[in-house]
Amino acid sequence: MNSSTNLTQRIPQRLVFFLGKGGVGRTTLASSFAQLCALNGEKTLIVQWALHDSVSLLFSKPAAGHDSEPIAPNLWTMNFSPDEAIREYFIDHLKMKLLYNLVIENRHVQRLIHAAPGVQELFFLGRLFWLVCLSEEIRGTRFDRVIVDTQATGHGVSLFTVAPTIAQFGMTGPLASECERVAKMLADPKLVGTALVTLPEELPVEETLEFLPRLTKDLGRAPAALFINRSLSPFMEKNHASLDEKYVLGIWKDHLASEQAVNALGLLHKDLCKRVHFEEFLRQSTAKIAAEVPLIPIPDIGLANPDAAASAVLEGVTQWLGRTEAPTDSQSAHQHTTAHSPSTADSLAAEISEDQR
Amino acid sequence: MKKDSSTEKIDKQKLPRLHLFLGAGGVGKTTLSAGFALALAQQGRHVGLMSIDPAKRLQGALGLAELPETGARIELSHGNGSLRASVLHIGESLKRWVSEAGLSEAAQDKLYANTLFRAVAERLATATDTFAAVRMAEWPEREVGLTDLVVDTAPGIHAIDFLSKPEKLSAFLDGKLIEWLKWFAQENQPQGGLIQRVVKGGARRILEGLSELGGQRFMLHFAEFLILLDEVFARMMTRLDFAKHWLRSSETHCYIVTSVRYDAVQVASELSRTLKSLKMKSARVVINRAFPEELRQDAGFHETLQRLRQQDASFFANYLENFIIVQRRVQEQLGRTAESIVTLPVAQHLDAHSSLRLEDLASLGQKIVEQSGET
Repeated sequence: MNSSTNLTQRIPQRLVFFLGKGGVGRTTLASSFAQLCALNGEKTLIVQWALHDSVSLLFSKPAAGHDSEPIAPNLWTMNFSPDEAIREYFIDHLKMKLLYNLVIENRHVQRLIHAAPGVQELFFLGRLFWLVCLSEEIRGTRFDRVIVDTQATGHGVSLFTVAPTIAQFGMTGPLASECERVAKMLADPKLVGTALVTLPEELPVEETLEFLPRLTKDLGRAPAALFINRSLSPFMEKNHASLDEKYVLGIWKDHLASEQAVNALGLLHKDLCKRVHFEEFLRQSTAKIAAEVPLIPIPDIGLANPDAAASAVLEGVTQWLGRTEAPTDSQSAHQHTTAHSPSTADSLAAEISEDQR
Repeated sequence: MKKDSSTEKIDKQKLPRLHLFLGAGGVGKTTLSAGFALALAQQGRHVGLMSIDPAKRLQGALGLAELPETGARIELSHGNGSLRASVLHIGESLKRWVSEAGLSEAAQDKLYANTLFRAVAERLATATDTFAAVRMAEWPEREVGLTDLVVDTAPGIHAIDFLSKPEKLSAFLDGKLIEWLKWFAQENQPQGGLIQRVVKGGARRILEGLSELGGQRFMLHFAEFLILLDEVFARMMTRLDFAKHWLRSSETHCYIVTSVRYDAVQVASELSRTLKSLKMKSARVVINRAFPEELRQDAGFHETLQRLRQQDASFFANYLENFIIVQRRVQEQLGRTAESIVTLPVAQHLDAHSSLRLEDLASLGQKIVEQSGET
């Protein structure tokens, strides 16, 4: 492996946000990247903020709570709880136990906290700040990497503007300084990076093309990578014929009895090939608006093997990421390059089914 | 809080039918809900369609690209029905609600200049679910004679929030804290005086505590904001109550849309459990982009499939085999709880990446209408 172009070095920040809408495979990608970091010897934590912890499940471990739990060598996960974070902030950090009991625990104030925009997001960022900047001083523990798997709707988009927004309210006191320090953290390009996850399908591609400039504006810099999940391109690298329309229809045509069946087969083939079309469209469009962002296709492992358990898919994606060479900044600044892999997904899929036996 | 007279009027009428489309991202929810609305309208019903985030191709087909927040009539090719379609724009709706609340021009200017209002309006735009419920409840007030409202929801299990948040948000708006904040604001203004004496000692301590956290200036600012929005909030509350009532009425149907994908099925199962826990009727399940029956039942299909799978170029054959396996599991899993299952095979016009035609949309919607037993 060429160490200068390894993916974990392409995304070197200690705090990395994986962003993408529900259903695009964001959790799988975040977990795979985290696993890759852990395999490289980095102490890595996956932070979730979700109704249910889905990361522990991938590692066949019981669900984690607000405190980090080990799930694999060098790898931990936690599921953020706003209530817990607020309690910790007032009691452990500000040492304001009395105020917490009297004010924050009051049920009317609780309602305000749950309904007011931005409050929970601020505490989420505050917790991340603690993890990457303070935990070593205070508890002597330090994670080399904190990988954030952000919730599907809302939060993922608004996290990066929450501090400046709250700052506009003219707050003073501890909440204002909290805003200030998380804003400072997010502004540091050496400390914080982002990676987008999308699918080669109509709506996810449209959304990614809209989100990319907005993220770049909100955060002040482009994401470090754009992952195209469930991609077909790795399958086609060596085996061009496998999806060629004339070839596929040619071998089927004479064996089907009815014309309707032939038409239906053609439809299914077209439907599958749409992914090739949308990936190409995304590639061309990204080249125009964000040429410096490398596109990294991830093979659709479930497609080759429907019985692959989620853990096997995770394993396969991690292996794929480990073999992926990402262009360095200097290379990609001038031309739009794609990450490529030395191995095809077919052999990967074969390896995975071997593992399962 | 005051009860709005326009919603009172609706309470007494027969409720329009509400059709909620739920499901994971990318399963075709928005397209199917649009087709369904179109099919109902062509049957002579008076239909409203509330879309969230439609793909450009669908916007093009419906002519939605330049649509105002309040929606526009869609031309129908036949029948006496009607269809009004809109795309959800929370920020614009909020502004309209402010102007409709009868605030003086000066008060409106003051509100728009309030940094909290600007931030809240911007931020609320991401809290789609709750405000979609308000907008949904508002629809029959604005359109007399409405028989059906078709609502597309935000993707994923967070559409659950749409169903459970009416209570959450009204809990906030109804909360004592708001009353206290209002007292707080007036107490700090010269014309205050009288009310401050009413404030109980405990409340005062809490307000002082909050001031300590965010600063007194912020508290005043926040309170001022709430006072200005009082009337708007009052109306939103009434509408949320109505939404709650409507969601649970016998005229409401939920359609859980899924495609032949494990993750989409997980979302569908989760949604189905949530509907049950909210004591709502079981949903009608729509399996979109399913395997075409005419191919599966073709005399030569299975033999050819097995033969090709043994060969080198087996990629597409494996894909077909897996498609059938996954679809069978999906049907088994969802069949246990669904009221009915509609299966829509991969279709020529809808799934190509060319332009979308209204008649294709309508015929797709018609299949859902017929197969789900919606008459």
